[in-house]
Amino acid sequence: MIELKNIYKTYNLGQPNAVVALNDVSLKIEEGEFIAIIGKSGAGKSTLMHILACVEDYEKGEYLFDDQPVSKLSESKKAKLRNKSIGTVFQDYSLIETFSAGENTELPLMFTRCSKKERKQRAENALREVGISKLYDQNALKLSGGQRQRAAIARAMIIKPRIILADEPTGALDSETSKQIMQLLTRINKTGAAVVIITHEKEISDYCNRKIVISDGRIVSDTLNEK
Amino acid sequence: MRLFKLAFGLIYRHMLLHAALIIQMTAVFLILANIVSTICLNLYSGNMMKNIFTQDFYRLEVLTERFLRVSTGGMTDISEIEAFDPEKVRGELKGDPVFCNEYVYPAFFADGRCLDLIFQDERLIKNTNFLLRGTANIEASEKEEGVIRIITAGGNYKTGDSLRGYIEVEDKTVECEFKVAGTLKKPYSYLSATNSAVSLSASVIAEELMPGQAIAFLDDMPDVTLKSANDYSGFCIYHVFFDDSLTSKEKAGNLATLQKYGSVTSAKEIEENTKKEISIWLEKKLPSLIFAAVIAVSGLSAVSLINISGNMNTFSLYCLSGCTKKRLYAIILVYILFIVSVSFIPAIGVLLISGFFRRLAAAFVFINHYTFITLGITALTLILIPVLFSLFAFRRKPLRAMILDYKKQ
Ligand SMILES: Nc1ncnc2c1ncn2[C@@H]1O[C@H](COP(=O)(O)OP(=O)(O)OP(=O)(O)O)[C@@H](O)[C@H]1O
Ligand SMILES: [Mg+2]
Repeated sequence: MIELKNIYKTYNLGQPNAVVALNDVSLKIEEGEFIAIIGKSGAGKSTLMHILACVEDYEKGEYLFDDQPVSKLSESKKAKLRNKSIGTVFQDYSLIETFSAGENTELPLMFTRCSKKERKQRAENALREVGISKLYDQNALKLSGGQRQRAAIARAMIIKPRIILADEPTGALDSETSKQIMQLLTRINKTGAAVVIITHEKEISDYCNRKIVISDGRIVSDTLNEK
Repeated sequence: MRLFKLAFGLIYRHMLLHAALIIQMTAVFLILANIVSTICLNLYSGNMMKNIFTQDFYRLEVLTERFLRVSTGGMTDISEIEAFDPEKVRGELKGDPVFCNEYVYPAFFADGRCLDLIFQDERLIKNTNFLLRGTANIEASEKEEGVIRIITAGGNYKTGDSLRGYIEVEDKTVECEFKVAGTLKKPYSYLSATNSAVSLSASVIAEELMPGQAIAFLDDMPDVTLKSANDYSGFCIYHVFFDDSLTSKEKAGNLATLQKYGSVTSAKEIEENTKKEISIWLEKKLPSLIFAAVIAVSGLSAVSLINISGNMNTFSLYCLSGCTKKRLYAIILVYILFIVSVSFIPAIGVLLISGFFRRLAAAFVFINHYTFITLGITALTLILIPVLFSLFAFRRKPLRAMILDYKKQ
């Protein structure tokens, strides 16, 4: 589904404070995989995630989505890719505070032709799947950390994406809630979506089928998890 | 609707800020409307008198006994003031002058409608540059025996309409036929003999004709009705045109005669006062007009820019959810459009209400299409400039930067 070929990414390229974030990264992600990306702080994990989410560019290499080079896609085609195929969840919950949990969940559908009724229906279903169906009308500010993260996951899955990218989805949660979130992601993965998560914690990476370790912008190991 | 919801996400967060902004912009719209309309009124009134300015026209404000008694509390020795008799004064003037006040009598039509007719001299009417509907030509209209020509305001009468009815003068009624010689367009202005000021200008003389009033040709009036029509409570104002065939010496004599009875202002003086008034308005009000516009534009730009950078997370989430940049611009546009129209609506409301209560309108604002055009242009500027600013703010931000900005928060 996704193939990265020899990607190089340098921040502040050509300036004295240039930082090499990714150095010759090649990677293949197939449908339905469950991958953990592990590495020290500053290793380039988030950079890799942003490139996968088509929000970051890179100076060298190629990113193929379904064998299509992403660099050749127009801005609106990329937006469409994010809208239809890629769901994203970030560490900081990333909900819009003025919207309710339900409205946050509906957000990707706001940029499609989906009718209001259908949007609501699908948001309710998604919230039910993440276990907070009662909180549809609750304002995002009034949700607990775990509930917010669930809402964010509901938003990522409402479009039935082929891949969900999660940057430290459990980073700010206690271990019990982290466990629940991981179980949720595992369940979503079972329904067919590939899931890629970034994490620092070993217990979290143990949920995944494949572990990729990044260090100083390079992939230093890529192993399958034997369970 | 969807765009509106997404845009409203921006307003909701800073309700009070936006309420204050909306009040500010409403005030700016009203200031603009007031300034523009006053300048328009002055220009328009001046234009209405443009033919008269070229003639030997004078406005005589007679000091009547009654006026002096009222205004001085009876302190003046009124026996020293010559009693004012218009026929006598007219007789003292050389040549064949127009020496005319205005007379108001109600007219009742057979179909049940009625109008207060303001009778004016033909020369004054034909030299007034009325703003007329359609192609009516007052200057060319000729007297028909037994028909009173009238000029109406508003839409209830059409040029060429013939009406039967009667005029009531004191206890007498006189049967007449009326013919609509023209109907006025807004602002229904005419030159009246009721207003005065220390410095007489066209805008002082111009008055708004109410829909229940009409101008009528005095020359068409059946004789009998006019005889006892001289009752004045305050100023008694006469419009005077000297006979064109007089020598300048005779004219000077006439002027001296008029000055015996009150204060006289010539067309030339009125014209100069009018020009002065317009230039004072432009000089004094144009800067505040420009400042008001600048305040509004910069205020709205600042608030929308602050709001945009403060809401980067919202925008980045929109983008991550599949919103294109174009959509993002559309959302900003709707947001600014919303603020501007919400402040525009009360302003228009105030204008329409004050237009409805005409007396208030006269004191506050004179609405015409220029007022609305100016408001429209201002509204457009108010929308365009902040939108351009915002586009600029966005253009320099790649999507990743927006997301990173947000994560830093
Ligand atoms: N916008 C940026 N400008 C300059 N340097 C950047 C920028 N973003 C990241 N970097 C640098 O690139 C390197 C990789 O950053 P990245 O965010 O990918 O690390 P990470 O592995 O996600 O770290 P963490 O675990 O702390 O999130 C770091 O050295 C970082 O300082
Ligand atoms: Mg990171």
